[in-house]
Amino acid sequence: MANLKRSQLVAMNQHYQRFSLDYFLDCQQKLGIKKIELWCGAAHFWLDHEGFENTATFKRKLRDRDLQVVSITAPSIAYQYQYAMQEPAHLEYSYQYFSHSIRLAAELEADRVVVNSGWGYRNEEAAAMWSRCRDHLGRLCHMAQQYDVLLVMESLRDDESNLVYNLERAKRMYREINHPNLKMMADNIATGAAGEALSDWFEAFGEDLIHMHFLDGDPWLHNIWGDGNTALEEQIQMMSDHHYTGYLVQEVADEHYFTDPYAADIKNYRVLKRFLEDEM
Amino acid sequence: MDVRGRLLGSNGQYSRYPMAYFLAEMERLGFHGLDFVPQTPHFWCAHTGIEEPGRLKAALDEAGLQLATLTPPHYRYSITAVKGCQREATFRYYQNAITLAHALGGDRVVLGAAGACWDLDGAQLHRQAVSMLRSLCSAAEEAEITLLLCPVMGSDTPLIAQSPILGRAAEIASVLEELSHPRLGAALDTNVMSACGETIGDWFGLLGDQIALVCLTDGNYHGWRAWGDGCLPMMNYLEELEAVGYLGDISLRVPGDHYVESPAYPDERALRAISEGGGVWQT
Repeated sequence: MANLKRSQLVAMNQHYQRFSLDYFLDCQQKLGIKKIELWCGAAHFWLDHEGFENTATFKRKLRDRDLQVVSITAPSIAYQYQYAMQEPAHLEYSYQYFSHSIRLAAELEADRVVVNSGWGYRNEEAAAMWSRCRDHLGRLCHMAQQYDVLLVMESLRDDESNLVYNLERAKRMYREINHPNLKMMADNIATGAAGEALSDWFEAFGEDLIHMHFLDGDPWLHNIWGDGNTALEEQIQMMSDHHYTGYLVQEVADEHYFTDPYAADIKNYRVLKRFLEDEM
Repeated sequence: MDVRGRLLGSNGQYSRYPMAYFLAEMERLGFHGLDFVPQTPHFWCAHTGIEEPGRLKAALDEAGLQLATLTPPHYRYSITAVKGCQREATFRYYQNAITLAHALGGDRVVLGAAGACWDLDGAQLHRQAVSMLRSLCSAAEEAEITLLLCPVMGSDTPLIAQSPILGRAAEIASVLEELSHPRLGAALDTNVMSACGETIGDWFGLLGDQIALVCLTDGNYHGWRAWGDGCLPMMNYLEELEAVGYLGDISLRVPGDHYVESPAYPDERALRAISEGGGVWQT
């Protein structure tokens, strides 16, 4: 039977958004987590189009708990910023904002930033919003290259985006951007909602699929493992068959868990630990 | 009674369509008053500044829309924030919203306690909110704007909870009394009110004419809904508002993203219900 390594498991703070940063970090320490994908949302970490908060205190908090940031997610859509912003001035603010997320990654010694396609107007001409998104992501790739950071692009569900919402469109965007700093990731909620198998994504991107938001979908909700209907052992075997040893980020983003995220984490890792080949 | 003239349309649920589309829909539906949400992509409003409002004002004028209230999205800003970047940004954000409301000819800005950290002590959150509101009242006074404290969802609605404080009429009344500022009033949200188990009578009994806006939205424990799609007695609520003598604006803004695909639907449902409802509310 294929197994997971402890070093692959990465926690995320999005479902702790109703709690303070200290609460989140303390919970991860208690859980024995070592790596996190930092969701730069309030009230945990301040990032905007003018910059980000001083990282000294944040770094100390990480160090005190033996935690490491391995990837960055700059919240998009929920705030004023997104990747396919329609108005030129707003798009420029968005570019500055996402650029700062790249700088932040470099400063925290994380090697990757998660990106997506954003969305265009519901009644907008398809080619216009596509090229706006592609060109914006292309600019960000150049920025990422300067900082030796990789961008990892996920697809979204089709209720979230009318741009990259399935594998076919992800392949097209990846091909058109065609930049060495653009890599791909599978968010298995988005891929599940699109009716795609993880193996489709491995076959499409090969070694350029380097990152994953790995949840138990139903397939729509970002559930903890055990709350959805995904065959976990089969997923792990599939990753093993494709020699995937990258991160498995627990992006527990469903509101069901926002009231007591720590309890959700305990249940989640209870399931995942059964497949670890080393101890947590 | 001219209820039609007191109904406010809102761009809140039109966020996935261009501003021009929204304005055309407002004209089609016959709205003249507006509860404007300064959200992207319709308008840039942030803690760092706002875009020049002249173009928007001209577009509203051309569409025959008068701004009544401005409801800034809370995004990651929170009046309950602790000292630091979030708190500083929150103050600047609402200052900018006040400036914008004034520039657009409105007289009210709606805000609430969303975004609170639930692991912090409730008394501490309350102190931070009151302190923030006190500072904002000064800014509002200069611009001749009234801040309306709107209740937020709490622990009764875990999926959409926004804050452990300032969700109930008594809490809102307590803050208004504590600050006792002529530029601070209240907005009533019928879905939050109902989720807490409170009534229109409770709200007007405690706050009376300090209520300067009613957000008359259907809903349930999962969010805000178009009239008839939730589980609230909307026509009864209308009658109760009449009974308590409320004569102010009624916003039909539907918070959340439930209707972004068909944003006119909630407006059409509400207008139809009111027009078919009979009695004094018939349009």
